[in-house]
Amino acid sequence: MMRKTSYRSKPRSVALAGKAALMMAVWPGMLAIPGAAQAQQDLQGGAPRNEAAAGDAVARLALSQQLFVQGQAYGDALTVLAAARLAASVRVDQGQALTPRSEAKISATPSAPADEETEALTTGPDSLADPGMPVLAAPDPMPPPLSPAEAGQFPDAGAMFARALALAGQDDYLGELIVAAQAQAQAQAQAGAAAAQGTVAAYGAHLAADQVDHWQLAGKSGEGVAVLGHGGAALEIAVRDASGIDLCRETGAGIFLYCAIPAAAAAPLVVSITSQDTSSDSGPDTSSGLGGADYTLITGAGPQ
Amino acid sequence: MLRPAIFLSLIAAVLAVPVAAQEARPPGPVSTLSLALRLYAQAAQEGDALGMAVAARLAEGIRLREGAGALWQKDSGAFSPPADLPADLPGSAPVSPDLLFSGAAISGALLMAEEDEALSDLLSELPPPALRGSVSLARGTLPPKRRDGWSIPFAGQSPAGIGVFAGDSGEDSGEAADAAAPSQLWWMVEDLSGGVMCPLRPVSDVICSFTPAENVFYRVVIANPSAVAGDYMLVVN
Repeated sequence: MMRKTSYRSKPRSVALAGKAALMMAVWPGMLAIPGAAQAQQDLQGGAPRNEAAAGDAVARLALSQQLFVQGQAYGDALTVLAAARLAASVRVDQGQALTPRSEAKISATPSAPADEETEALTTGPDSLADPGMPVLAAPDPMPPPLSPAEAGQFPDAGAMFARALALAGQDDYLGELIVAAQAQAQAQAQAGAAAAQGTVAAYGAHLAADQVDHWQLAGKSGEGVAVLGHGGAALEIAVRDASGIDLCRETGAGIFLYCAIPAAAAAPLVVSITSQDTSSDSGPDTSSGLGGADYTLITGAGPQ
Repeated sequence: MLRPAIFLSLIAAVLAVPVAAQEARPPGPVSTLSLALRLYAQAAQEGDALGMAVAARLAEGIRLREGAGALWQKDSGAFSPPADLPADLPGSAPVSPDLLFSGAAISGALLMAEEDEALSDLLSELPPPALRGSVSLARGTLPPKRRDGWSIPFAGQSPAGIGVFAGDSGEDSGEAADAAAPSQLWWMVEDLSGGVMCPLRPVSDVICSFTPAENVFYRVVIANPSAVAGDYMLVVN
């Protein structure tokens, strides 16, 4: 409360002088950002800016989830609050339309593709790990034991606001800000404003060790696709178009990938996700489903 | 009136947050910088002072080691764009890290927050941000149809993060500063035998990350297929 008192005690002339200095300092950089100048004009005019943001909802939600991880890691309530506000602006549907084609990463015996679809996959998206080796079809994939949302790995806006509040601790001032932001987000959601920022479909999946999941997407230009790995397991993620061009590729632990889809990309797209189980160096995985990785695929909510 | 609600929410939050989420590992500094750029671009576009401030603080927590590492090797040459290079790609961010590091970003956030006194008070008195790691960086300017190649050593079994962002060399790069159509640089990462680690992509906020099996050099190729010169900032953790 002391800081509020001291800040408000500034003479108005000082505040105006500070505002002028800020505008001089900031304006060149702000002009470089599309929409920023318009946003500034709206603020100067006192008009609330309530239009849907440019950029797609997939990118927005992916940004939110990555911010949450960052805020969590550093115990930063403000970062988690920013994540929560972004998450609240996107409606997330649990994906039903897609299921991955799951295959074993077996590289011992060459084998002809079983059918045209398998051929397309083995010659295209799955050549990440070892282009010379075929991929054999595997039995039905194991169902995930818990969805990422159920496991707390893909928190929704409510969980994020709650976490921000917990991290704010004894800072009443920040706590009030978080509660107010949550109330505003809830009011907007009830009014249907969240849908104005877009709706996405989130598909939680479990990838067994030494398996490859292939997701086939319609791949609309400008929509984007995101994959979030959970739990620190190592993954390879690749997005390729129908002509085999690599659009995005990422490898690592605790992985995050957002892939914008260029207009020139040939549909359909295939997202391939490979588990990189480090224990496989010492021999084949015999853990009967133990290991592997959980991840969430985020796409636009339209028909795929 | 809000305090009892905050207290109850606090208790609920502590009980509700799952262990898995609490054990999240911090992203590397290059990833953090990429995150900050995306957040700032989005927040500035929407006039979101809080988002802009958070983005600026994320960047402020990263220590910069200016100048390429001692073992970095640079070569330059002509660049012929491949035929399948897309003419456009959505999602590239126009924000340069220099804006976030300059202090102008947090000033911009304060300016945006001016209409909200409570937020303005909060942002103006925040403590310094937490340190989020260090990165090495090299800057460059690419004339049209030229490319730079950087051979950079990476430690085995350690996560590597590489980003090439829009730069601001501080020098007048001729046409680039005034051109109506800004330059669009592209970049990729390959191993020394030509194997692609991360495919050709536009300079934006997307990074390349992987974990090398052993100590090894990788090559970052930055190219300018456009008709105007462009600045870049190569950042590596």
